[in-house]
Amino acid sequence: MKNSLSINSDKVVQDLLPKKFGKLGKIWVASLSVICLIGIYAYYTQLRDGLIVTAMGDYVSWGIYISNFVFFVAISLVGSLITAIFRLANIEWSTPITRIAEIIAVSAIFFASLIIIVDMGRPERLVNLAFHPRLQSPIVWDVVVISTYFVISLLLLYLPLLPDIKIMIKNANPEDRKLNKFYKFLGSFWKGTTEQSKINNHSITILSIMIIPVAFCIHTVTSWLFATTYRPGWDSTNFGAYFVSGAFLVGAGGVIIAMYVFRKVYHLEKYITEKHFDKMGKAVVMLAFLYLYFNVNEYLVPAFKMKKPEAAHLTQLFAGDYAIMFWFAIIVGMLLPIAILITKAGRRPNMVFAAGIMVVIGAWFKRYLIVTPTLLHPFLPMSDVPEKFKHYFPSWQEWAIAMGSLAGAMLIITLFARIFPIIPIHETLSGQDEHAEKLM
Amino acid sequence: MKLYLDKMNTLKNLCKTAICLLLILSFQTQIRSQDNAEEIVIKPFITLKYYNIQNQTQYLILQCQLKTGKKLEPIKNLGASIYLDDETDIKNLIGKIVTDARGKAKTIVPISFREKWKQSSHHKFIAVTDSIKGIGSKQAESEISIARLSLDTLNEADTRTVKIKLEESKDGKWIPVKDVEVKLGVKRLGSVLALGEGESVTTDSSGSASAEFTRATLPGDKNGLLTLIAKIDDNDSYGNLQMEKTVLWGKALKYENNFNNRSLWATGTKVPIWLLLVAGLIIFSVWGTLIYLIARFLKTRKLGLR
Repeated sequence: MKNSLSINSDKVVQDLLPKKFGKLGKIWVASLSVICLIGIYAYYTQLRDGLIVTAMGDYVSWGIYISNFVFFVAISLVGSLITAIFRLANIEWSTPITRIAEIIAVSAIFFASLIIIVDMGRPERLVNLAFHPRLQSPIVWDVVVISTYFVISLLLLYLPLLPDIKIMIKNANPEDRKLNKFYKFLGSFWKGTTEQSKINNHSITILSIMIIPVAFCIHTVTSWLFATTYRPGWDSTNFGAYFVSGAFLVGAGGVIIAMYVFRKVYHLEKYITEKHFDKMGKAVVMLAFLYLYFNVNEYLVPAFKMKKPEAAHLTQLFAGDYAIMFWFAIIVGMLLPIAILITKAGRRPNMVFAAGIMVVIGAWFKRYLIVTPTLLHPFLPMSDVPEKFKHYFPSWQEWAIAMGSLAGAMLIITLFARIFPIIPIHETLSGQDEHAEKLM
Repeated sequence: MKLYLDKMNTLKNLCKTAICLLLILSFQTQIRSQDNAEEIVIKPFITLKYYNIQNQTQYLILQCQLKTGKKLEPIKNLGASIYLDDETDIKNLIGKIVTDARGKAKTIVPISFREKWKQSSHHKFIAVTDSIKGIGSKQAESEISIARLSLDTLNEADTRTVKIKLEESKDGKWIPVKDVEVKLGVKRLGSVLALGEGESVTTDSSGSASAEFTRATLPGDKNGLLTLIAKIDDNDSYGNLQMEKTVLWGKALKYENNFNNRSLWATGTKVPIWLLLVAGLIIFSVWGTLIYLIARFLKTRKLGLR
């Protein structure tokens, strides 16, 4: 934190305290709210008329909703990458981006849970999972692990926030009464005593250790929802590692986008420096190579054998209806980001941001490709199915709900940044002090 | 000049090649057009087969197919009249039938034909179809000699033998038939398990044939019952004959229903113990730690509020 060394404590606090939305911010929030409202209306029509309003049928019973669910679960994994792995590995430069990673994780996992309920024709039957669970089913494992991950992520967001809440109460704007009340409700008890800090730090360390296996489980179990089903494209023993590597990549891409936007909007150039983009760029290159390796493994091996039932599915992906999307996901989602970020010149903020966008968009389409084409090619096709069963294109309700959920996740992140400091103030100040001590 | 001659030679060669190619192409086109002319040939295939089961039930199956070019397709919904011996007399009409989606239709020989059946040892079945589009009415015949197949078993010491006998009716008497192939086996689900080394046995001068039953451990039904079967398929003289007999030679089948045992595919209440323990241990460890951390947080809160 060489850049921040010269900045005095008051300036750091003033720089990092949450700020009111400007004109652009208000337009952004309004736009996201409108997309969310359209999504809510679409869900209302789905509840009213049933799943018939979707384009799903007997073949494609998991459409864009489940693609979106897998995407959310994937991007949520970033919380464990940045917060836990970097924290445990004592990677100091990650401090300014830990909270960004955690709020992305919390909002993503929240919407992953919601989208699963949306996919249910009768959402009120969700309680049956609690009353009549079937422990043998990966769906039950997924529900358990998602709720566990959500609680851990929430704690990992809240506990490091406590010292910052104290700072916010101290620097509160008297006009923001409701907000001050909210801060006091959340953290008025925090005095920052040695004992409190000790317990809190200890808890954060335990959570950081615990979240890693839980994060691996959440995405492995999600991959098992597919891999335990005997279908072309899913019948793989490699799916857990394939999903986890992809999740780390999209998560890193998500953090890059968020850190670039917050840096730009809140003028945080002194805190989120070019060094952060350089480091994150390198991380993305490594993760993209890893994910590319699993992709080659996942597609090349079955394509080499071209077993008859798999052939239709693979041909559709490589040269058929889904070829454009497939090659887009591979080239734009992996190859281009590697090509951009592998050189030092490519790891400048603007370039890293562009690569981050590519990774995230490519990843969304990749999830769609994992879910839908496979369902169109069952090992045991039904006889005399209607022609519409053999094709799938989401209905407007599905698009509206999917886009609404993405907008909702971004809205949560935006509102969080309005209420809480997006860069940890206390940790930044502590880091500054430690650095100063070392120099002395 | 030499260059000019070379060019001329090349041009000549090119012309020759082009003429050859044109000839080959026109020849191929001719062959193809001949093929096309052949492809439009339409030919109906009508067959009538006689069946006798247990020397009691007699029925006939009519099959109608249409060959269009190289494609053989069933003729659906085609009406046909089936006669015994003479199609010109309406009294000989056994019945009127209509083919199904497979181009097949079946009719039983009614009991009212019993007397007429007994009058001769040889009979002829005639099927006259309704008009087929572009072809007209078609006829198919099946001539048979009246025959009977019997199946018996012999249980001596440790040897179990299955015996069959084939006889045909001649001048009111039953005469043994030799050199006829009879399939002999045990009826299984969808097929017949042969008893002997080959698929069938051949009748001797006494019209008999036998095979030893060596499959002592063959599963039967819950009581150990097996169905022995003797079949003559598509015989030119006798049609299709079939005889069955149930014997207590099989191994009684004990059906073990493990559906309700604890397994990965059972209901939620029948979860395997190992899975229950592993999942329980993981959930208890993780949530136990979380509860501990929440308790620690509450302690922090208490410390601050003190």
